[in-house]
Amino acid sequence: MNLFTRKYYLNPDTLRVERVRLNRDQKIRFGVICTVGLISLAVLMRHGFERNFPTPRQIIYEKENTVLRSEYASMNSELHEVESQLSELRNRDDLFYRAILSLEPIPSSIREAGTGGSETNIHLRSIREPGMVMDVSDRIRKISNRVDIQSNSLVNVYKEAVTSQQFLACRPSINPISPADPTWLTSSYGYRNDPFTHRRMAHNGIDIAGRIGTDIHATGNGTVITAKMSRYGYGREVKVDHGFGFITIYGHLEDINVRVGQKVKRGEVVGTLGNTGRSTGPHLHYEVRKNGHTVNPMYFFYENLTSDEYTVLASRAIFPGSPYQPVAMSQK
Amino acid sequence: MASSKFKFNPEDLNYDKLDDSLGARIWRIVIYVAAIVVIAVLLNVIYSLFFDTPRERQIRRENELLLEQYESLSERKQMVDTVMQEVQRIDKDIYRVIFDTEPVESRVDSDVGHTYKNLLQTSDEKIVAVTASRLDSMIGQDNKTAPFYDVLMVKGANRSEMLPAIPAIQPIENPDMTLIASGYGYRIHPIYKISKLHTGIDFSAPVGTPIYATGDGVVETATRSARGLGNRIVIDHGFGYKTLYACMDELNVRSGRTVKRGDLIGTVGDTGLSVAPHLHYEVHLNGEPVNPINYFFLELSPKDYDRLILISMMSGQSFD
Repeated sequence: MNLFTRKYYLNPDTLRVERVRLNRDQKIRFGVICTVGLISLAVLMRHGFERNFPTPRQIIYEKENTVLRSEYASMNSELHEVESQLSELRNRDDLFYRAILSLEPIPSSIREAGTGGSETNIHLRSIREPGMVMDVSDRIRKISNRVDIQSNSLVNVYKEAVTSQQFLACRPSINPISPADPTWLTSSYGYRNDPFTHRRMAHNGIDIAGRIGTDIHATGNGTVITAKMSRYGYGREVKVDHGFGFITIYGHLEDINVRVGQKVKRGEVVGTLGNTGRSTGPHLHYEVRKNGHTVNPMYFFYENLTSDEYTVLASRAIFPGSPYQPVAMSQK
Repeated sequence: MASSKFKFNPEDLNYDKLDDSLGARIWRIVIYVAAIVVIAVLLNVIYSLFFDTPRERQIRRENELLLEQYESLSERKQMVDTVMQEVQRIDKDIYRVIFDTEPVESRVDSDVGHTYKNLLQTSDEKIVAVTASRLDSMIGQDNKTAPFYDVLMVKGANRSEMLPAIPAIQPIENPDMTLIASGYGYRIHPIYKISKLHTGIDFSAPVGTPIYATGDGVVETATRSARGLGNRIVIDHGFGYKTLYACMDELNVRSGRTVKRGDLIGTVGDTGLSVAPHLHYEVHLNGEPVNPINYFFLELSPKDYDRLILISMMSGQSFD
């Protein structure tokens, strides 16, 4: 290696061997050439390198980027899942619940409300393919709108459903006397010849004749508002307020089993059949009033209960915890 | 510096002449260049340790933005999920209040293929052989089955008349199986809240939804009533089959009318002992109610059929 060894030369002026020394200009020139060469080379290398090979850090960043993008993709698919759940809920809401509860379906104009006018995020412009991010953000915005609407809708539906169930539980819907007990309808609703005056008079309820002491059951859930005895009119009489404008009256009772203010369930025994008051024989006078007007009680019970089913229903009124036992099974 | 250069040799304390040939000069230049290249590479490495390349900077910025956006989005998503869970809870509550049972999951994972896999895997010849041997044994059996076989033969003979007559479609349009609410069997009565035999299928649908005859036949009765089954139509299909459509709103046919499968006979209503607008549909065979689910075979794929069975079984409460 002769680069770093000291070099000497024969100086013809002094005739001495002297060290080879560069003067200032030469040094500067040498330095400049080296530096320029070095820098231009470095810059060229850098450019060439960057163009053709990713730097290690770039690879790391790219990996991060890929991970982030896959996160977006998975969020997108999760959102897709939420969307399909929402559609399912919406179907159930509109086609099922609202149909069953006779509510108007929510118009799609309201359901799709607030989906226009997407917020353009300036920052997102510096992202390659910003569509993905925008997609997710748009989706979330739409979904949160839809979820809000769905939630409000379902809360309403829930209230309606509870009310309708209460209504079904309270509305007079059964025969006040079990089909197991021998009864016969002696006088129906409407005009008839009065047994006392023998003149045509309106009959506000129905008369069911039977044995004295036969259990009389409440025909719907409600509160006893009258439990009185009188020698006239309906004699011993129980009045039950079922809410929703419904009141039922059980007249000519032998015994009264309930007190005023007592809550009764459908099927619960309110008294026993008798012959008290203005009556010509043992029978129950059963009357249904809706919003203050009497209506035909025949429309408020459906004779499709067998005596066993009736027993189950009546016992459930007393033991509400008892499970729904299939009647046919309990027979066997 | 045209004169030659010397090198001090410490061993013999003499000045040796340096090799001044072309090769040596080139060699020297190469070494200089190599040194410069090495330094340039080092510089590059050092530079990249402290500064990002533009590309790196771009990706890093992008990553930051993506992360920032992702965080805000996932926060919002979390909120959506929370509300969604709440909504689904309410939904279940409603379902429970109305039907006394859990809702059917729409994505039924029932592996329909499984049911038919065995059949599909078996070769046709094998199936034919097994069927033939079964038939043979059936015919060969005692007198008990012989009449049955005769009936089959007779039925086969007027099959062309029987096929259009047997109820074989759903009485209302129900493409997504979203309508059916309660099937055949013991169901909790919506009013009495006790278990009662439900002898038909209830399709919940809004009032006014068209109802179609499910097979060819003659309208036996078309009755209006405010009680029991409400406005109802009975169609006699012959061959022992009758269908009943109850709780209807409008009746479009009168008794005695001949109807074809798919004819509009009326609309869904809420009449009679009904707690919600629905169609109560019954199929009677020889005077006995049978499960109508077995009489939708014309329009259902095996998958839909499985789903229908599941839905009709799951609902705990009927509508009338």
